[in-house]
Amino acid sequence: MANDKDMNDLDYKNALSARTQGGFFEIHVRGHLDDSWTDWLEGLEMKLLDNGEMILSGRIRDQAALMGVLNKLYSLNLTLRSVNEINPKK
Amino acid sequence: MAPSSLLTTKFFVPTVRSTLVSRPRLLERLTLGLRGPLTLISAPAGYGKTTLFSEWRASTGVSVPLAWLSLDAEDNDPPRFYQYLLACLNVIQPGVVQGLLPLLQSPEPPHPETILVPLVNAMAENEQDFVLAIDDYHVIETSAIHTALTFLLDHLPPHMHLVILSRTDPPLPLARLRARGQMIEIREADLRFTSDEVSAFLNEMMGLNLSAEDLTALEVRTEGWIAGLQLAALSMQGHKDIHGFVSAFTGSHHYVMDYLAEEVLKLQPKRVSTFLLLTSILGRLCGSLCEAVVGTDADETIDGQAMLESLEEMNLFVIPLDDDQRWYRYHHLFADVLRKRMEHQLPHLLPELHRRASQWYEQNGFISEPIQQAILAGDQERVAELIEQNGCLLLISGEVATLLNWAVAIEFQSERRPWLAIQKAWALALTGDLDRVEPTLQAPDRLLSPLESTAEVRTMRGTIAAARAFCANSRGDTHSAAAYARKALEQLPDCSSISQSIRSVATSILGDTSWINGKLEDAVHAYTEAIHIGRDANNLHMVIIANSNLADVLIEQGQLHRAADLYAQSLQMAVRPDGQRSPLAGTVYAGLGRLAYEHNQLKDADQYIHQCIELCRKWGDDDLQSVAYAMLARRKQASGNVEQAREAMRIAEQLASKHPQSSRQSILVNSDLARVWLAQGNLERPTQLIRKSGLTIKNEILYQQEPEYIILLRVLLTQGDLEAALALSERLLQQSETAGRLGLVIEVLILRALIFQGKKETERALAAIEKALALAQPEGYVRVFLDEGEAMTRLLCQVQSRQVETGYAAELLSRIGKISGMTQPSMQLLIEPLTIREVEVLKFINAGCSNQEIAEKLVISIPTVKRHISNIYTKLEVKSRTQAIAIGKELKLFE
Repeated sequence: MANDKDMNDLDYKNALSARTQGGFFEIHVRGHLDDSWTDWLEGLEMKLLDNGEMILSGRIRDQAALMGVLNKLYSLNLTLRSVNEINPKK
Repeated sequence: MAPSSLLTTKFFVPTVRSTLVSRPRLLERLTLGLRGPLTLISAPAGYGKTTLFSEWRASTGVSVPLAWLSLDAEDNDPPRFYQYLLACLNVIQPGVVQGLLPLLQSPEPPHPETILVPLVNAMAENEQDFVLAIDDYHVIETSAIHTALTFLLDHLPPHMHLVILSRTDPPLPLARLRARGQMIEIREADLRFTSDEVSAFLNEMMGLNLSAEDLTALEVRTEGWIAGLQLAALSMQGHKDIHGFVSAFTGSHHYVMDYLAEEVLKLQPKRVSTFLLLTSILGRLCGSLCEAVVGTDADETIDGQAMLESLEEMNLFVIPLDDDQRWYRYHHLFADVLRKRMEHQLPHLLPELHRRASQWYEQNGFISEPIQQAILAGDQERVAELIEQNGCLLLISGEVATLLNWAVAIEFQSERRPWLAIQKAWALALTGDLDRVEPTLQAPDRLLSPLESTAEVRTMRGTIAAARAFCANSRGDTHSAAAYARKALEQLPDCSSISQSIRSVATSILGDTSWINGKLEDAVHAYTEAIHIGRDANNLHMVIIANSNLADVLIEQGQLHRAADLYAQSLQMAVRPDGQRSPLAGTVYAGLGRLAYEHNQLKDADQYIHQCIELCRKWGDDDLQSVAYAMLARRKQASGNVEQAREAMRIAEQLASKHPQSSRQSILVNSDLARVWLAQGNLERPTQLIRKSGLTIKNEILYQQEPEYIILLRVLLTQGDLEAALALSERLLQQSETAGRLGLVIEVLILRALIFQGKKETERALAAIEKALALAQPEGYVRVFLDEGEAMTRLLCQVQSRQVETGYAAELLSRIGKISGMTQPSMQLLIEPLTIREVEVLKFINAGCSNQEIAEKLVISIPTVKRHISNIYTKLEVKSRTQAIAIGKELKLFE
């Protein structure tokens, strides 16, 4: 029978893999970049919104990579609006 | 890294450009902030943080002493950070570098407080307000440096004011400082151009003549972002239809910098835009470096210097880094945009450009930069080569973390390159990562084994052995450490300075291992060698340390005069002509103090001890300070200042409990404290100490523990457990005689004499004392006798009266007389004083009377006289009339 210990182990493993395998992120910033910036931003896709904002989306490998992207955006003085993970594994 | 190779551009306070809008409200805020401990200017790139400070510097702050430091990513290596910090503060306090640099020269990374306490103390001597400004603090990611800055903030001297310019809020206790009103902040909201400032800049400064609508539109679009407005101004200067430009620009959502940089670049002639693109890979630019990088890719040959100057003229985001127009850098945002374009349009050129830069740096004598550029070029071979060439220099100068990072970046190369692996192993050892050292040494070991023993190969083999010796020594495995050290010395030739440096390290390790195991002659030999090699290699630091260690060993051997000479030599080396003292002077003063005390030169002892304490306070050396206070306690007790002795002991204990001490130092402290406690009649504390150290009479006594066993011996003696004391003393005597540890031999002999005295075995007591005196005289041991008090005085009197020895006893006794200034009959020295009748009898004996004559004079019977005489002999512990008279004279009974 599946007991509590098994479930906890599974949760732990999922959490661990989420942290190191990364996930699918959407990053919302103000300002439009052109796609010559893609390489600088971990190959994320850019979707330009009419209101002058932009959504960067894609798979980001882990927390360090995520911070790298956010720092890069900050260094260009782009205003960060939100960071969301889509469909985190449960 | 010698100070001369520091990048002076990092200390250059940026100058004000003429096309600036003055911002008095912010200048006032800055002036206000600089009255307090911390001013934080925190905002993204392009908001004019540095420019604001430059403006303050040129106007209000023009006469304020300023130390400026521009950080970059390489400064995340603590030794490098501290070197730059010291060098920049040297402007405020000349000499602070020479004073503190030795602390950074030991290859092991220093504890932040080791540098900061003396630094803070040094800076506190300034009575005029001054500013330390650190630019680009956001590049720092090393927690050790954040800790150091926090420490600095917590202990900032009142006249010192810190300014931190950063793109992100640094991980320092800002909330606390904010709450206490100890910090002023200037942030993005403050730094944005206001509408008035936008207008002043674009219309007045840049002469653009924009309508109010256009101004507002631009302000909204850029949100007051200064870099954006500057670039906009540049774009508009070249445009015919400015209003059209503004409409297009404000109607677009395109990233401001991208949009505007595109516009600006379009306006430039090709050779300029090519120059900008190609040189955008460089952090710092100078004319010839730019020429090397651009090479023949441009259509025409360029004059790098001329180009940079004209860019500066055009305000094209080129910022000067020095006064002679030699070095520049690009504004970060502009450089980012250029770089991105470069990577997008001409990515295939990048490795070649970095390679060209790497070569230029190498040809021009730089050490770190060629390696950094080679890494960016992706040229692993070249990186490995460069690291091999310069790795040892980096290790010796303490830039261990930097070396490790680079070595990791070219992981696989070390399989084929022995020097690289060896350097990496040493870097791991010095950063305390001992477990990884041996695996790292496997590859070079293997690679070297089939090779012929050329000088190069032997240097490598020797360096490998030395690394193993270092690790073993750190682990306390003295046997292996000594074996590896010897192996290293066999291999290492004495031809190069690197080889010599490693030889001195290996020799020193041999000295340490010999000493710990009680092989004092070997230790003397090793340290003497280390001094010799150190002199050869011109390494003053090693020489002073080896000198001090040698002197300490000599003291244990009882060679007090030679030790004194060595200390005097060390002191000369450790004190500069201008009176500045190196931190190493502290241990020298401690040694001199101990010697002076033993020789009963109490005034000198006082001086040395106090100098030691002063230096310890200055350099933040709590351990050595506790040793000094323990010595002071003994000194005070010796002259009867019981309360002062207690106070000194309290301080010694407090300091010793702060950090875990080295065992040698804690034994010194405990030894002195135990003596004072026993002298004050406190048996409890020494007993506690013994229990805590786990000492019992059954254990084997290790060399290092001998002084602790002396404490046990004293406790047993005081408790009256004479048999146990005697047995222990025999073991200690044997061991210390075998080891040649003279000081301890003398002390054990003295204690044995007291034990025998307690057992009423006078002959054996006197024999022991006489032996002790014979050993003590040539080197002038005094206090080891005097500290035993009255019991010793009696013994000395007895010895003197026997007139068997050379008169040293008399000399010691006269010193006792001098100290206590006794003028009264010192009957107190006797356990049982003579009765009045017995004194009378003794006086007659002194006068030469026979028993018959005494009986007649005193009108008593002869048997009674004999009984009196017998009692006198017992009380004075003598066996003859002559001896009795001698004692009587000492007791001043005949005056």
